[in-house]
Amino acid sequence: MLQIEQNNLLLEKTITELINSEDLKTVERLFTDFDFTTYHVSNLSDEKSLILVSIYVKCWNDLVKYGVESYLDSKYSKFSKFLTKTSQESGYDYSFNLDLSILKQESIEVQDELISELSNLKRNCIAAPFEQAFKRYDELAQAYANVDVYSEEVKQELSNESVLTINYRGMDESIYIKPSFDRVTVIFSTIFKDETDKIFGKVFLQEFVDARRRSVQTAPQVLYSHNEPPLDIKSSVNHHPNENQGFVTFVLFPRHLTKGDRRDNCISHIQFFRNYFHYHIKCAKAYMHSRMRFRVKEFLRVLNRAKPENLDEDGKVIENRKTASGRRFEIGRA
Amino acid sequence: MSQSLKPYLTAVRSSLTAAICLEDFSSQLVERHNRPEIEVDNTHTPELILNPMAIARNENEKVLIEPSINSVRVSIKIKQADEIEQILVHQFTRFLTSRAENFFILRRVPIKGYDISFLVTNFHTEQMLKDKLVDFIIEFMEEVDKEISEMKLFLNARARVIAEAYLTPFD
Amino acid sequence: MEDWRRIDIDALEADNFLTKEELVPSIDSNLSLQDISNIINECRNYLTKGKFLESLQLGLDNPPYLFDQSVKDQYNELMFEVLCSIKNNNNDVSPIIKNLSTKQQDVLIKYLYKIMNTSYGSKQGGLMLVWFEKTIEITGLGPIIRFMSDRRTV
Repeated sequence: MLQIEQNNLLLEKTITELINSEDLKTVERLFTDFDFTTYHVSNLSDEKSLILVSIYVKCWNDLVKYGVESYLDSKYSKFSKFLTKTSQESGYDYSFNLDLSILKQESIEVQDELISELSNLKRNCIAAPFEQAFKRYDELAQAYANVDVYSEEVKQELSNESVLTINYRGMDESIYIKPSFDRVTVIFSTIFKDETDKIFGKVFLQEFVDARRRSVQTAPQVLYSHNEPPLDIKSSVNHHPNENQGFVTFVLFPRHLTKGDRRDNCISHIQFFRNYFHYHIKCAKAYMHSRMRFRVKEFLRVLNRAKPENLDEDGKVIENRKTASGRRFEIGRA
Repeated sequence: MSQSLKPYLTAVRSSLTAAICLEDFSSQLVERHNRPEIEVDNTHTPELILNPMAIARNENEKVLIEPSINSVRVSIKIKQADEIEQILVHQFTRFLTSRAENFFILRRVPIKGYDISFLVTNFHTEQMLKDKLVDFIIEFMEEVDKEISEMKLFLNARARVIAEAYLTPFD
Repeated sequence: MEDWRRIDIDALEADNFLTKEELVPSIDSNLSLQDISNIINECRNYLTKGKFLESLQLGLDNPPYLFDQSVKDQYNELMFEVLCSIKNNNNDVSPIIKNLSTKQQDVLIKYLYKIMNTSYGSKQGGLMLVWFEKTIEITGLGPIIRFMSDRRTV
């Protein structure tokens, strides 16, 4: 359970069920994903073989700017026989029309591929700006391949490179992506809900920073700054100082951006950083809690030794005393 | 056990043993009231309060024992070397105090400058064995330090594992 | 008729309460402020000469019970110095404690508690605790109980 699954399990199950069920059923399902994402799977009008799959993403407006629609169109075009884009359902941002009657005729492989691609819908939405930024990196890398990149003009040009901003959780938490000729910088701004989260987060991030130095030399470089946005994005952040805000910078190097599977993998992986990070903060807190619960129980046991009624004639502690009917006393409930 | 811990705990133990020597005592000011005298206003009855005892291992680890005729208040300042320990101590003491009714002698709010306070009254000593009460407080002090440093180590270890687990798949 | 419920009876019988000052027993000491500073100097002299026991005994025999807090503070610092330098020059303080009278041992405990309550004292807590542990080993709990109940504070 170390890693967070990138696809949506519920969406995957729902679609699998729909395909595999013998007769057609009415379906009406609503479920959520990270970062306020919502899916809606329902029948289109009365026709049970037509399924409407819609998604709501909080930062859709930002994504549109970075060409999410055309990206999704191209991504899902290979399923055009049975999966077509329709005008979006109200309250949602993007809708597909899935024709079960055709899909059921297809081979298992095609069905499985569709299921996996569709359950990655959110991943694909957020991937659009990353794709765009990485494409820009390709261009820059080419343009500057034989240029002295240390000259002042080039530096100036590069620093003017526009930053892609995705406010994926409202205005407070954003992803900033800045392409350059030899790297792509991805910066997450995140809010810590309380003091404990903040301190735990600091400890975790320190390890992220150190991990590269210690053992994972090939990993992206990680930098962490508290409160102050990093220089790269200073101009594009409308920054209201917030005590609980932190900025995490990932510097992706060309080795991470190699076209193909590695690039896809990189996109999937990095966009889940916040979820992964906060998930583990919560896990650590939960563990601490269970530990404290245990410790409190131990303390109570020690304290209960002080009560004479819990001691037998020799002064030994009696644990688990029973009544005549065999019921136990619960001492030391925490 | 580190070198200065033993004398520290010995000092707390002997001071507590001397201080927990309590009797039932009704209020001299309010008819039919019986309150822990250490907790009430004693401007009119200073004779009920005894001299408080401070035991310090260093600036960050202290115990204050405030005895009175029918109650003793024991406040402990737990070692907090850095931010992480601070937050852990805070969480831990909050966890404990929210379960104060199970602990009988735990005070819900620590006194100022300390992390956790106990209040032992004559009613407690009537029901419980004094030496075991002292044992409890001593054991508490030992265990808390151990627990906090273990939690801190665990947090660091966990952070390391998850950082590596996250960064490795990039390549 | 006067509303008797509103009579402040505490005002009429105020004398029944004890004040903090009344709790302090009478002390027959004719030490003047000058004497105290002489004692402080004398103690330091003993220390430089390496006469630790004499220094400690002199200090413990003349606690400035009757003076105000600033004099007491000064005296506390002196005792702190004495205790530190004795510990630093002697590995085992037990023989020194054994040579003190019961009264002196009581006063020693008073000063140990007092010093641990100060900022400079808590920094050297480990050192004070060694003194404390050794004293209690020799004397038992008596001095602690006498410390709690003794209104002659240092």
